[in-house]
Amino acid sequence: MSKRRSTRRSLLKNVGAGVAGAVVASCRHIREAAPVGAKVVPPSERVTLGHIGTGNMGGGHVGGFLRLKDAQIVALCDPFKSRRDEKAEMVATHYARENNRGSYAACATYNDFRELLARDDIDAVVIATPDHWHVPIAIAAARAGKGMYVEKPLGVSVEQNQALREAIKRHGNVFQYGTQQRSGRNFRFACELARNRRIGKLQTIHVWCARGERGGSTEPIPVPKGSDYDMWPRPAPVAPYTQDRCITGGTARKGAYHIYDYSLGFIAGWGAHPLDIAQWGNDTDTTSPIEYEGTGTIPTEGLFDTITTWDMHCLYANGVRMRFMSNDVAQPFVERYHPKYIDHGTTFVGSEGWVSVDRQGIYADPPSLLESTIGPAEIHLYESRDHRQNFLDCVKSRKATVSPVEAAIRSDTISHLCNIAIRVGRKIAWDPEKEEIVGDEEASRMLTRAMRSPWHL
Amino acid sequence: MSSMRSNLKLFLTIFLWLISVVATAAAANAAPSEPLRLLILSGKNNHNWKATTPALKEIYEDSGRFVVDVTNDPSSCDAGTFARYEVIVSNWSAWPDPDRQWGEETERAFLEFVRNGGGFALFHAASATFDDWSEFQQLIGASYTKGTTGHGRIHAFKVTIVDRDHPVTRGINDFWITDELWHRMGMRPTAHVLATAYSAEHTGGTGNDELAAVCTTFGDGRCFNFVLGHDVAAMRSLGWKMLMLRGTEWAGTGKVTIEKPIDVDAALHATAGYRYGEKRDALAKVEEQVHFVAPKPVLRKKVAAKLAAMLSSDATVDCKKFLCRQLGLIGSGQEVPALARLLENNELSFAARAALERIPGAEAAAALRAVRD
Repeated sequence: MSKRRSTRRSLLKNVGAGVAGAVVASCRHIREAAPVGAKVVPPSERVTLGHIGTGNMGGGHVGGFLRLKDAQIVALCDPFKSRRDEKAEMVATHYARENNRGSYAACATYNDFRELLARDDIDAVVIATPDHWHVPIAIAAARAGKGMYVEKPLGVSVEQNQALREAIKRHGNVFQYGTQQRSGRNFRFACELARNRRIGKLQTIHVWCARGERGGSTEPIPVPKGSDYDMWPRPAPVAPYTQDRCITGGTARKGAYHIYDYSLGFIAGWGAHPLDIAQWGNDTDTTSPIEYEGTGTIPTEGLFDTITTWDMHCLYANGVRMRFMSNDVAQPFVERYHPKYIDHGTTFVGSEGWVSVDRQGIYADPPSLLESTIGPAEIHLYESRDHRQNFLDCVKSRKATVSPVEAAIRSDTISHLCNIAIRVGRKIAWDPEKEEIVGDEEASRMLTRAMRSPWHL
Repeated sequence: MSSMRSNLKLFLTIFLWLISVVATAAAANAAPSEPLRLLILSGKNNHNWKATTPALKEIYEDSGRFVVDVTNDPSSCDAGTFARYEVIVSNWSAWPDPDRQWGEETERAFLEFVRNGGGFALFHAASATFDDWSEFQQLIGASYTKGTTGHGRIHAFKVTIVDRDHPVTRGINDFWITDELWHRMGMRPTAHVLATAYSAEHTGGTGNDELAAVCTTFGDGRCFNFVLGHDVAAMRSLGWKMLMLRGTEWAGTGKVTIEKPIDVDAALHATAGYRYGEKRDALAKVEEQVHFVAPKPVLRKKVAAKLAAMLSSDATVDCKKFLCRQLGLIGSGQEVPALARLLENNELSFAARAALERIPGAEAAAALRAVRD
């Protein structure tokens, strides 16, 4: 239920009947501190943010949103005390400088995200926890009426993703998926070239990303002081704390990214990015491939037990084939045509050429495609200049974001079905209308995952 | 005392063979999705077909590679019958009658079936029949010829693989078997020798290497002829099963995907002491088996029952957590009681619940509800 309080925040009032809206409240501290001058966005027009998960990725988001003038970070949550305290200090210093004050005390820190979500004065949350928490927290955020920026990948089970879709449908929340490549000009242009048939009829898509990690220490060590190691894994099974279990700040190579209790591994965690672009260019944001076949490797020693290398062949109902690979598999294959291959990318191969895009550039054959202009009557894809800014804009306008929840679910599904196909060792058939695996009971059972009490969907 | 021990050991070995489930794993690159349809011709044999035919059916079905029908009246088969199968297997013999008892129509349909690419496999007495049917003799390549072929007493002997490059025998080791070894079989030039066995004189043999398995091609079809397999005991030999399975698959398709069998019992036993943090190779072997049997109802039930039984053994907690996870994938109502018993166990209750949540059906639902109440 929404509570409307201050008329100052009328920009953030609900539009649209019957939809639980963002909660509006006044923010006294900011109002008092607002200096005279045109550059600062008045508090009444700022989106108040809470960050849930302030570790590796989450910390980056805190820094990123601090730089945006129409965001105001008021709360941080992380079960690791050092991570939330560190970032709280970063926030305090930043706003203090902005407000020309020596200190700034309005950023609260929490161990338990439920307390953060209960605050009426928070418009939106950024969820940058390990994967196993993404959906449970997002659903709670949906029920609390918050807008949400959710890091990729989506849920640790397809069932969780479907539950999130229901919650967002019911509560009407603004949702931005952390696939920030969609806010990159090259990525949008590559997809527009594909959609407008500059490469002829799209036939195959090559998708590749960094492979998963092996190793990781299984040696139990004491939990860092002040950290809640009952909260951290909560919906997932409990296991002894080790130095590589929870991500340590700054390095993406360790930690929960590669542990199956918390994640599918890089086949989802990194794969989400190039797969999302593949879906965008193939115009399949509301569906997923219907066949999945291939192989992968899973390590049998060390802490990390997700798929490390893989080679998957997928088939869309529209006839397009997709080969989704880890970078070690992709390299000899992609290098045959790609002069500047790097460890991730998406290539659209059509009947009259190809276009490939990654975070370093865009490449095509014939190269003249890159000079192409998309005409006014042609297909133009959603233009977003900055992923976080797009999120804030949509929290205010309630328009759809560039990476909406349906696109998130349908691309995350690809990672899930690849993971299942590799583990059961069989070709998997998928019905995208019913969202069911066809004719394989064991594989279908893998679409769900139990959650440790008291957590449930 | 020591002879009692070795007798006991022998007994245990045979006992273990008798109770082990032989689950054969498909080759990594070529996992076929559709099983081969197979018809066993049975109903007459001077050997104990009433026991050997069901034993053979079980061997084929346990591999997961075949679905099996049996007819006890081959003469009732016609072209329409054979058209429903990829491979025909004979455990039928008229011995000692030389008569051709299938009837012209069946004979013609049978030969056409093989010529057109169908597979034929036969073992032991099934090659001791139809002396006067020259096409049949051509097809099977070697036979028990009246007046010439003989055999010594049943004894243990070694089968030697002669062609190590043929798809049927590639990667198969020599093996021992207790069986009836024939000598001086009639052999056609069409026969290609896959395996032989030394026929020791003191067992009533010839002192020579004698035929154990041959194969032929016939038109577009293939035939695998296994000399060995006098009774159910001989058929329990792992080596016998592997050759018969692979020979039959080759006859039906020209290719072999059936690999060395993994003993599920041994694989499970290797996980019993698992502790978190140790290497997971033994677990991975069991997981592979679980995924392999998941689409094969007969095998799946057997393996699920073994997983459930192991929950009440003295395996480690970490092993049992692993077993619960596997039961979540292939368990059914039958395994619910073993899982339900763990719901009150502090260390295993989540693992058991997670498995029960995935198992469909009323029993699992009831077990979960019972905990809440």
